[in-house]
Amino acid sequence: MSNQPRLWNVLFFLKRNRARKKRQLRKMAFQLMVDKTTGFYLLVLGGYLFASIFIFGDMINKYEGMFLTFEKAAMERVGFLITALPMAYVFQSIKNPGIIFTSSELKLSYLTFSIKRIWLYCVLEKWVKSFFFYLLSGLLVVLVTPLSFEFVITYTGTLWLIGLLMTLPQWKLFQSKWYIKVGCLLVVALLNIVNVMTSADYIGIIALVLLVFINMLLIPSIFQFIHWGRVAELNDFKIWTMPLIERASNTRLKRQKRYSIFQNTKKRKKPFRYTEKAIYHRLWQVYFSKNLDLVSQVVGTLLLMLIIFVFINSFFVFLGIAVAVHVITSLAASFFVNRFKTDIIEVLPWELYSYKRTLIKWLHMGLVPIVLPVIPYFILNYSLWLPIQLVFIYSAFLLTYHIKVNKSISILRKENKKFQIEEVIGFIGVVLIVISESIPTVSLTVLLIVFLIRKYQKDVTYVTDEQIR
Amino acid sequence: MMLKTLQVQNLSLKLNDKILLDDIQFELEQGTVTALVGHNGAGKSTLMKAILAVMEKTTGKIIINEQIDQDSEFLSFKQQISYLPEEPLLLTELTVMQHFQLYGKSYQIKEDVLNRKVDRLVKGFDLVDKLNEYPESLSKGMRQKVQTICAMLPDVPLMLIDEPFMGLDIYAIDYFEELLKEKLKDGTTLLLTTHQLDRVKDIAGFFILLQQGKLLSKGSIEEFDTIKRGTDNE
Repeated sequence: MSNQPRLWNVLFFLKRNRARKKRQLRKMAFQLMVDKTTGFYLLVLGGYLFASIFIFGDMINKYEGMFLTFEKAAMERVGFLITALPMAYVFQSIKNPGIIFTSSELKLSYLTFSIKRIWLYCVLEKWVKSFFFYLLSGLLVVLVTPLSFEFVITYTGTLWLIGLLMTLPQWKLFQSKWYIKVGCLLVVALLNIVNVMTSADYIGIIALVLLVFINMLLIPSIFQFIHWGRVAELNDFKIWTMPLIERASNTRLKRQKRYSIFQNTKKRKKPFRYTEKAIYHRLWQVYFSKNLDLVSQVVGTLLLMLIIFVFINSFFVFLGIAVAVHVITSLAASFFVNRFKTDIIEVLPWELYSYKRTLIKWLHMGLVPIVLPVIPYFILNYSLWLPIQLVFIYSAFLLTYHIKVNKSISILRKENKKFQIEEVIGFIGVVLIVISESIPTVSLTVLLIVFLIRKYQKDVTYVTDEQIR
Repeated sequence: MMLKTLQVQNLSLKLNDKILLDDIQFELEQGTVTALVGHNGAGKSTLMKAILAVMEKTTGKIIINEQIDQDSEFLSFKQQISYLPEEPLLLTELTVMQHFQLYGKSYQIKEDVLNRKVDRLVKGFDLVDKLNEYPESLSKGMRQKVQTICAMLPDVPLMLIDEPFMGLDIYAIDYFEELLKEKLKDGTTLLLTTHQLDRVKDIAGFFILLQQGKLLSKGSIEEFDTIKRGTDNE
């Protein structure tokens, strides 16, 4: 008879010890950050918060009518939830396989345990955990709000079911190339647009059937073309990123990053064309892929802001554009400095102006999603001034970009050059974008701005890297 | 009079009120090899990082070739140094050849010169069939070889080498020593850190001994033996 332990016992042992270690770390951080007095006040605050749940329940019972109206409307739109939720999972698949499979699980597979069975247990764990999470959350909502049990169970049940049905698609998408992910995202977005436009119940049902069908199609290939190392590396990072510990120890956990989202294509393995453009362009790509979270947060926030502003009025649209110009150029300037303070680049000589020239292309790419909501607005509100206003806005953007990145270059060169005048000019350019909404003639300052851009570009081209050397 | 490739004057470095380097002062003459020795935490790597400006110095001056000051001509200053770190700093997203090209472009090496050098060095380090591989598909020793080639590509006045021979096999060590001797012949000055002075005794002419961020002594490598014996006897 074999003395080999059962896989379930080993996995349970692993997870119990992982939880224990995390608990110990949290305890240490807590002891470091909280003294007895603070602990006492926190305890009081905790008690108050617990009581407030019931106070809150009593209070919201007064608004029962409102809740019932909301419930009725929400019940009619369950179909939207079925088409909208997969979008979140497809989006997550860019960076997250959706299944907690760490290097510890991977190492178990080097022993006599089957990797397929380990994976299956991890999936079951995910489903069971999410089931209890939704069940308890649902019960709490039923307890403190006037929402009906039927409604809460429908919503939490749908959330759980979609989570379950999206497990495999997310897992497989995570392993796929980026353009497949983007393609899927577009298809799901299209399905949502059709759903919103037609408001047909059957779209939700079709989506559900489609999901079941996709799952059946994917089952035979669950373990084909899987990059286990990448899955484990990402999950290790996810599991051991503990904000409390980072705050207490004043350190930040860095991802191992042995695997990149862009690798594995033959084209990318070829040597570069030996030009600054080709090499630095790739380095920016590498840099942005490492900072994808921050970039997508900023671009997403600006996009949301502009979508909302488009529905308010014209002034807000121009204000939104000015804010976007300011935020994007500021972010570019801060990225520019940071690029040279990370990885191998830090120890190499810097062709700062070549890096600047290649950065602008990436900035234009970042602008695309922000410009999208504004285009329909300008088409619907076309005026004779509009083309000049658009050229003016773009010029103001370029001017601000040059000024801010030139300042970053100066910092990197360890110069003590002051940029107050240039920064005021850049700020005026951004303010003029807002003013140009009510006084379109302001856009004529574009001529002055183009002159200034040439001046700041000249700062760049006249002082070439070769001359610096 | 010999050209002073590196002048470090009154260099101090503080981090969160902790003094990591305290009033360090030394000069390296052209074409010499100096071993930076000391126990763990003595400040060897910190000193290298301060020279590279990866860590910001608090006070002092660092000058290359008696005229290029780290503070006033920073970009030119960086062009004069090649650095070989103890642990490879290779990017996951670039292949071996792409790393060489990045170094070539950064140090403004012409394409034909770069290709000639790469061709010779990859043969010497036995990496000919690894040029289009990503670092993670290489063994640790191979990654160290790649990083070593990167550092050997530019012709610069000063090379900083953190723990040479670390992770290299005996054939690679022999070849690397040969390359270092060539560099020396061409006038490059080498500053290298080491725990094991015996391994660099053949090439190093001078030493700088650091202890808790302070320069304890410096001189020719023969003098170091006397100091070491004296310390051992105490």
